[in-house]
Amino acid sequence: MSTATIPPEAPSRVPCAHCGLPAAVSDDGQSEAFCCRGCKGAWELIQNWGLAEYYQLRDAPGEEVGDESGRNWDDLDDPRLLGRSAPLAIESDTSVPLLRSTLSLAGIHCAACLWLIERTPERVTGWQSAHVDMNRRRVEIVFDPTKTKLSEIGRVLHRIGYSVEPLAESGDTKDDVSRQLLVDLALAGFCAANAMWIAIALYAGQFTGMAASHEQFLRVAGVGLGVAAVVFPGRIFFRSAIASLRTRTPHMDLPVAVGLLAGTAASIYALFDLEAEVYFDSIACLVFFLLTGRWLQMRQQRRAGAAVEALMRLSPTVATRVNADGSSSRIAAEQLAINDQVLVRPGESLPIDGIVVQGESMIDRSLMTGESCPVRVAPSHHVEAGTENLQTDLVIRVTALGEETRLAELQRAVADAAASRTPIVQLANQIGAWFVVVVLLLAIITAAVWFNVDRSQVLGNVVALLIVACPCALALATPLAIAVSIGRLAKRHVLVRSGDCLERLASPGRIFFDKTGTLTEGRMRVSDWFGDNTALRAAGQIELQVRHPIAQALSHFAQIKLGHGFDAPKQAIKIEQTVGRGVTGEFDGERFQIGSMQLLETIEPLDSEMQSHLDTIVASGSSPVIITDHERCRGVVGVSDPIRGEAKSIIQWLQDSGWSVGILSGDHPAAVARVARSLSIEDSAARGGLLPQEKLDAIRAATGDQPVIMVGDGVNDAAALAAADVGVAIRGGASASLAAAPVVIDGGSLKGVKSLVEGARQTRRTIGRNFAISISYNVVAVGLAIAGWINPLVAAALMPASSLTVLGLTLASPSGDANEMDNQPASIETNSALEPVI
Amino acid sequence: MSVMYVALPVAILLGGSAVWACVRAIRNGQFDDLDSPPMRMLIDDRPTSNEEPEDD
Repeated sequence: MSTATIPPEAPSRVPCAHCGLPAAVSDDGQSEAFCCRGCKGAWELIQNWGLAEYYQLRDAPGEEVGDESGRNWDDLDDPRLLGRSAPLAIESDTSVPLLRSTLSLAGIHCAACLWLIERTPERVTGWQSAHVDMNRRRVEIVFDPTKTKLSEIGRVLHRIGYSVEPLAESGDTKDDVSRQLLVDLALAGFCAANAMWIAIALYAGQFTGMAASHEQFLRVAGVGLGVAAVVFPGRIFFRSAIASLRTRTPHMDLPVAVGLLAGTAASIYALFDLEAEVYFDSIACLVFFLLTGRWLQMRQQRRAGAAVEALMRLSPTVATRVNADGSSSRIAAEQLAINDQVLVRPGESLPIDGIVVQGESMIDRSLMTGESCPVRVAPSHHVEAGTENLQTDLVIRVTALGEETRLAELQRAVADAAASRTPIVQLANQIGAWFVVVVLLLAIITAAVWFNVDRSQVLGNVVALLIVACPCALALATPLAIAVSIGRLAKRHVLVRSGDCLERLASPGRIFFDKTGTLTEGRMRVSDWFGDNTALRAAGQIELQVRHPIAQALSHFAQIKLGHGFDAPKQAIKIEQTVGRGVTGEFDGERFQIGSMQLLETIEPLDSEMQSHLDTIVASGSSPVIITDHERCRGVVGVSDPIRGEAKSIIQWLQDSGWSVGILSGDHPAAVARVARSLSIEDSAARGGLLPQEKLDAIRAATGDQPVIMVGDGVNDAAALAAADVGVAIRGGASASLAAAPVVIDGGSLKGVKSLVEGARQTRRTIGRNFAISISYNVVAVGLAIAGWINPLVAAALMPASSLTVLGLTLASPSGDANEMDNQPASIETNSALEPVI
Repeated sequence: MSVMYVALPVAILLGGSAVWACVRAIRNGQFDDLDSPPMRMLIDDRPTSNEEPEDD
């Protein structure tokens, strides 16, 4: 028997040619290596199309191409199931009308993806064109329905590593808001630019002399533009100032509105008094600068939001109903009724809560409960929407639908948690409240002083003070710094949808991690192997046809370990699964049995070496799997959900920076304690066996002065994510958690947490510095105004100068890109299948 | 200098028509996606399909 223990004989690894995950070196050592069949297929397809240039163009590796079996693409062909993505007929030159459909697209990162996708239609009959929208992660597909189907196109895109989903409902309101802001920005820009050159003409006139009629004409035109800027694009400041007065919450827009109002009123008054100054150019520029900051922040947030939306796999909206006559039909889940029977195939998620009436299978509840091991279900067992069927067909009688399901209940808890969270008051707004008070007090003092000195100058000086005190740079500082940070974080695969939360993370607080799928990889991997390669190859081939996390781990391990030695001319046959016990199958004329420790009772006793390996596996906390040929044990395998490679260093870093780290998990307390120990997290801070409500309570209890971060991936984390000051969802989890969290880590690596905390600190520093600068400007200007020295030239120069300084310094702030390379999502080390186990 | 009475309204009018065009473009969604067009520009338009006639 040739034995192979790991890690000593682990084959050397190279990045997969398509996705960059670790793969075994190919036989000849020359040709490309692949981590899985999916990636190999994608690579070959792209080569065959003559689009190999993609691999030179791209700047990041592609997505791992998953297997196709779990996906029912046919749903893309039924317009009723597509919602907003339903294909519409468009005019075309040919007699056949073409159809156009817009779908949400996941998996694109760079120009090469766009190139590849837009080139693909040339290779597929009937697919006319593809138009990718990188910003909103959408693709507009035009196809000829007589030659191809949307499901075919979906399948082709999946084969090259991208996946499409129908658009989520009601996504267009965001577009309207963003367009309106851009329209306001255009109007403000127009007013500001024209007011500026009119102002220059007036200043020039002051030095060289100008006829009074000309001067008055220019002033009328300038004031007209200034008033237009305040009335049309500037109205949002008044609206939010009024709202802030009504709700008595401080807001930066209040001092801005006061300044705008004073400037406008003074300018209009000055039209009738040639001695007074007009401030229309300052007002128009102010509106323009402030809107620019806002638009930049909104644009960055929206981009992150669209990227998250594309990742969300909506809970299944389609179900297979078993009709009374035994036939089955695909219908929208909302058309189901209580007591209907629903067929759920392996790999599908359950659309409803119900009771199993037929079939025995394993279901994966990890996203719902955090349990890392699949659960066995049989007739009369109760099952929940959102869990995934793994093994065999199940027929389920519906007991709860839509809003009544446990999943919907959890989602309501998420909405409640989000609504009850104390809103983050931005630093700018805290200062804003003080600002109004101080400026108004100063205005009163100025008025009082000048009333005694020179009554004719009272009005002019008070107005000058109100205008130069307007916190233009201050109001610009925050959105600008946040927009820059969101952009930089997005480059490191951290998507921030709400910029406010960046301000909350500046000082250390408490951070809680979910276990399954967050601290661990969330999927089973082989951690120990002892036995002969023949048995491994056979076991891998048999398990290829079984849909179970352990089976997938075993066949994946066999593929990587044996490389091309794994490929076989014939598939394994006579696969029989016994739920809870294991699987038997025939490969290459030999029958094998793969299953739990129970199999040991049916075979000869183990030799001492086998026994010692088995003991090691059991002691390490991995699940043991036995491979037998019905007589002797041929191999023992340890399978576990390994801790992410980067977890230890990230937690160490967080602890060193002063964060208190805890675990909140729904998995068994023993498993949680083991993970906590290996990550040096205190036992008291690691809690297991928690229900979603208990996680939520734990977060609420921790909330106080310090910021609280929750990092999670499952539906059971969603409410806690929404309640925490900053919820961080890990990509690859449930869409409910992606929807609940304001921050999503797209790279699937915990390094994103470090980037986020560092980015937040950097943001806080930038904002602080911007404040210091703009407040110094204001203090100087206010001093000059009180002294009565301010003249239009100084006012006009000071205001844009402070804004431009803030702008320049924010854009030039160091981005800390030095360790950017560490954040590549798929480095060989962190993804090694042989990661040391717990 | 009285030419100013004509020049200024004309300039505002010209600028105004540009703003009008810009607003129309925004409302038509031309500014919704500012990421893809700069990438698309870098893609060569060479008809790759001619090089591999055996493909569909």
